[in-house]
Amino acid sequence: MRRALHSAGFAMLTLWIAAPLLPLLIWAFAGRWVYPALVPQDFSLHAWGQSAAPQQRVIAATGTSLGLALTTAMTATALGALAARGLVLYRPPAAGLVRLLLLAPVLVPPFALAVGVQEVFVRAGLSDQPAGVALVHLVPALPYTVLVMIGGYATYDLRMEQTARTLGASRTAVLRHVTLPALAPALLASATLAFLVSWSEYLMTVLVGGGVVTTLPLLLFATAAGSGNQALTAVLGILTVAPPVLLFGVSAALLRRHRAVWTDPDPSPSSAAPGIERRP
Amino acid sequence: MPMSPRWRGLLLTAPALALVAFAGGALLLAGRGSLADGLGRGWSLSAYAGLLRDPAFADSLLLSLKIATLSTVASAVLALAVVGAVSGSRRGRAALETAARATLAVPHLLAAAAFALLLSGSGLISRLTHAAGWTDGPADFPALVAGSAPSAVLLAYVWKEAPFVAIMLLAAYTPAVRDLENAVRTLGAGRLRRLRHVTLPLLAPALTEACLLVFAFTFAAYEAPALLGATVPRALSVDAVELYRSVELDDRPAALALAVVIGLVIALVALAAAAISRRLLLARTGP
Repeated sequence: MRRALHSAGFAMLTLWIAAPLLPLLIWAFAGRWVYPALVPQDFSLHAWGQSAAPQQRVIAATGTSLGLALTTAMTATALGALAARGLVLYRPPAAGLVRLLLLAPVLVPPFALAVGVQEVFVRAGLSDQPAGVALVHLVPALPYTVLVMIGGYATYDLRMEQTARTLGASRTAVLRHVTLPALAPALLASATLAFLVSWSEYLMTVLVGGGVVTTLPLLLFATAAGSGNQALTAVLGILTVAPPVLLFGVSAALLRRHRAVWTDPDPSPSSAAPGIERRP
Repeated sequence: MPMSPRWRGLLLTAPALALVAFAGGALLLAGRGSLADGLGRGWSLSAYAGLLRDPAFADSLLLSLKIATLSTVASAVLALAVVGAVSGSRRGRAALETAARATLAVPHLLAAAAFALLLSGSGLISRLTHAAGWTDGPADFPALVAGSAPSAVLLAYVWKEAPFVAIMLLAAYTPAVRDLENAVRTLGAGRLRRLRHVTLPLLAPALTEACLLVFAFTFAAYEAPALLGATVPRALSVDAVELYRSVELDDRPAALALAVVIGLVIALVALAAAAISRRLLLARTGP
């Protein structure tokens, strides 16, 4: 009875994930698939070839998307790490208010932000530029990086840095051998989330990039909304969904390995490295 | 020059605060633009007066409120049910967490495009109902996409947001919560009473936070209603984008006024959520 329930639950979770992704996978390899057939009349790679053609701009858009997402991931993570360091280790005046302000962009409507930013960019000459789009992507990514890095710094011991400095390590050496390794899991999780925010962003990219800065979501939306070309929609969809899913999978696996290496064999309440007591 | 560590901490948050200030300034400029006359000059409330005169505005506002409210409630109920069902087993929790994280990595736009392929008149579900002999053709299949009810929009949102709420609930479902549940069970409390007096009150703060995020997102998002919704009435965000792109000069203040309306609704809901959170805290800790 229990086993049956387990299998049923597992089947439901699988169905939940597969339901929308299944038509995508079939359509991407379908040549002709006329209603009411349940399977395509013939299979072909035509849509994949179509997406590789230069006039479709898919390859260029993938490059733009990657560049924007990597820039956002690194910049937002750096901003989030600095802010979390200040908030957690130094307890500045008005820390609660600062934290609230840094998390607030999670509620900001993308349309309002984009049209407001356009007002600024038109005057500053940043509209229709990748740099302007990257700057806009930073705003919704920041709350996630701040939150994750606050979690990362919660178990961080500043005395490790002071000890290394006392033993003669330079600031750079401390950063490389003490700070970054200790924060590695949080930095990875934070960068992954920021990457995902930028990679998925559609509306603000269209409005601030003026349609000149073309990313994968722009091509996907245009194809899905107006072309009636389901096979190409499906191919673009797979190209849009594969990188973030892979990234999430890889970073989850890395985090699990990291935990396995760093956790104490005897279970202690702290998740910190062995031999380091956490601050009260 | 020595600096007190507390101010040094504030200095470290400065770059991130500057970015938030930039966003805040942008929002203020959008608000300022909504208060200009048709030529974008001076101060005038004509854009807001125009919205109030337009019967389509009320329809759009109601539609967006309906989409956000129903998506939030359905996602919360579903997430609570599933988290409650797997709470007893470690393997169940792990499976749910993995499945939810996988859905989280799927961009919203892609979910909308995929649901169009799944739910349209000639989509996969329609072909299945035809094969089963329930429908005769695409026209016989209920209009989930672009129909009078925003069914496909809601389904796409629940598919994306229920796992998100589930992840927030799982994070709040600590071993301490389980211990308390077990304690009241040994005292003879049934399933429903456990849910009402232990589980729900302890998960309520996380649920409130998750619901606020889901509401704010689904109320303002553009992709799903643009791809899966009807042309009349349109969701507020879709309306706003159309107006913003129009070549008519006096449509611009109207588009910015819509942006302000969207922002105000979300601000009100955020205030309500904050009030609920505070009451929950008081109920647990006493005044």
